[in-house]
Amino acid sequence: MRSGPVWISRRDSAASQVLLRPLLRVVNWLRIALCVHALLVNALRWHEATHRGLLVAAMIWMVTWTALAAIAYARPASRRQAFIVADLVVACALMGLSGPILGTSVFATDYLALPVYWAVCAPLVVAMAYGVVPGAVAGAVVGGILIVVTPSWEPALWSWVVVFGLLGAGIGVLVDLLLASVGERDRAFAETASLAERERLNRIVHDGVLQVLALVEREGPGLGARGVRLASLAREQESRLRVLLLDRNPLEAPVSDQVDITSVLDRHESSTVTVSAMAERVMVSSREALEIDAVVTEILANVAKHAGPTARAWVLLEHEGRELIISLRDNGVGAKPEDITKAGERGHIGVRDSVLGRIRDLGGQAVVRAAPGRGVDWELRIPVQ
Amino acid sequence: MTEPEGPRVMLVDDHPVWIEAMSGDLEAAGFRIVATASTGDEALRRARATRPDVMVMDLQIPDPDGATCTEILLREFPDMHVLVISASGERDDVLRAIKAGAKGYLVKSATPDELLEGVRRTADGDAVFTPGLAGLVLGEFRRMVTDAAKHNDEGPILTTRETEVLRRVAKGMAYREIADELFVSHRTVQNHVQNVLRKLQLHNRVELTLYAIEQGYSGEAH
Repeated sequence: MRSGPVWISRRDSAASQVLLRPLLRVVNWLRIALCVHALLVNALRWHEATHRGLLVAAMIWMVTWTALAAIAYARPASRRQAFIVADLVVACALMGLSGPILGTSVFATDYLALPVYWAVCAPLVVAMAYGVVPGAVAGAVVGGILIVVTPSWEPALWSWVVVFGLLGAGIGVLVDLLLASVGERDRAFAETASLAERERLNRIVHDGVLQVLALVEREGPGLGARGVRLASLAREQESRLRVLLLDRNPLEAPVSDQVDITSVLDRHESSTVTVSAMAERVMVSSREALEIDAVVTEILANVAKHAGPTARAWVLLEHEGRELIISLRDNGVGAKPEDITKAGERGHIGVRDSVLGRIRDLGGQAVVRAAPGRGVDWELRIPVQ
Repeated sequence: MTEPEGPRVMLVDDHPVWIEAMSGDLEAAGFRIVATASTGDEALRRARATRPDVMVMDLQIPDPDGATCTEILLREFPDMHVLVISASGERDDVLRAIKAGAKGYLVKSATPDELLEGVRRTADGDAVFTPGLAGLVLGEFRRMVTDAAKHNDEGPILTTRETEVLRRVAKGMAYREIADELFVSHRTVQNHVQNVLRKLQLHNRVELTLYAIEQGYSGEAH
C-alpha cells in the first residue's frame, strides 16, 4: 500500500491543504461529540447488555481511537492512507460487534449500533480525501456491516446504509466543489503571474534594443551623410518600439469601464512629440478616454500638417482637483487664432468639430493661443470624477 | 604632481557600448572618468571607493536598480551630484531618483551635446530639467498637496511663479523663451527650477524622517 501523503494528486496543492485542514478539525470535534453521545447511549442500556466486559472494552477502544484520530489528522505527516483505512476498519469492527456484544434483545429493539453515529466520521474523512464516490461507498460499507452481521431487512437496519452512504456522498460533493473553486482561483493567480513575468522579460529584451537604437541615433551623425540617415531611421524605430512597449492599446479592449489616461496619452509619444505626465495613474471612463484621445490625435495631426517640417510638439497632462488639464504646444510656424477656430480655408477643417465640439460634449473648455511664428498652444480643461 | 583639471565623473550603465560612447565624448570635453560600473553592486562599491563629483546613472541596471543606488549613495554622500539617464523611463523610477536628490533626468535619445550640457550643469550643481521631468514634478506636488489636505495638513506648495515656470518647461519651452514671456531674467528662471527641486527633495527627507519615527514608535509598541 502506498504510504505517502494521502491527499492524492488533485488534492496536493497548498490551497487544498489550507482548505482541508479546518474541515478535518471539524470532523475531529464531531468525532468527540459523537463519542460522548455513544457513551451516554450505551450507559443507559448498560444493564441489558449481554457482554458488559466487552462493552466496556469496546467503549475504551472507541475513546482511545477518538484521541488517536484527533492527533493523527491534526498533523500533515500522519494524514496517511494507512491511517484512513485503519479508521474505517475500526468503525466497521465496532459496528459489526453491535449484535454480539449488546445481544439481540437490546440491539433488535432499535438497531442503534454500538458506536451509534460515531462510526460516520471515518466515511466523512474518506469523502474529504478522495471525493464523492469513495465517500459514498465507505459510508454504505460502514452502515452495511450491520446487515452482514445481523441478516434482517428491518427498515431501521438498512436505513444506516442509506444515511451513511448519503452523508459520505454529500460531504464528497461539497468538498469537490470547494476544491474546484480553489483550483480555479489558483489557476487565475498563476495566469496573472505568468503574464506579469512575460511582460517583465519583454521589457528586458526590448530595453536592450532601445539602447542600441538610441546609440545608433547618437553616433550616426558623426559618420557623415549616411550616418545621419541611419540615425534618423533608428530614431523612428525607437519611437515606434517605445509606443509598442507602452502596453497594449488601453482603448482597444478596456478591461473595465475605467482607463488610465496617462497610458492613452503616452501612445502619442514619438520622435517629434514629447508627453509629460505625473507618475501615478489617472483613471477616467473609457468614453472620456476615447474622446480625449481623438482630440489629441486631431491636434497633433494638425501640427504634423501645418506647423512645418521641423516642428516639435509637447503634451502635458495635469490633474487639478476635479479637472484634467491637457496642454499641447508646438514650436512650428504658428497661425492666427481665428484661423484655427474658424473652420478654414487654410486647412484647419476638423478642428472646430473634433476639438471644440468634443471638449464641449465632455463639459470642458478649450482655449487656443497662437501667433504667426510662435507655434500653437492649446489648453484643454476637462472635468472628471 | 598636479591633478588634471575637470570634474571627476563616474558612469553607470549596463551596456558597455554606451559607457564607451559616453566616456569618449565626456573625456574629449575635459571631464575625467574616474570609474564605470555596469551593475548596482559595482556602482555602490566603486562610488564609495572613488567618490566622484558627478554620477551619470542609468536607471535600468541589474540589482539594485539605478533609483535605489541613487537613494543609497545620496544618503551616504549628500554632496555627490547625480544625473539620471534612462532608455525607457518608467515615471515611478525617475521620480524616486529625483526625490532622493538626483539633479536631473535625460532620456538616452538625447544628443551628445545635450548630454555634455547636462553633465556640465549637474557638475555645477544646477538642475537639469527636461519637459518630462517638469511634468512629473508638477504632478508630484499636486499629489502631495492633495495628500496633505486629506490629513488637514498643509503640504509643500509651489508658488504661482514656480508653477508658471514649471508648466512652461513641461510644454517644451527653453529657459530663455520662458524668461522673455514672464519678463524675468534667464537666471531667475533657473533659480525657480532649482528651488522647486530643492523643495521636493527637502519634503522627501522630512517624509522619510516622519516615517522612520512612526515605524520606530510602532516598533517599540510591539
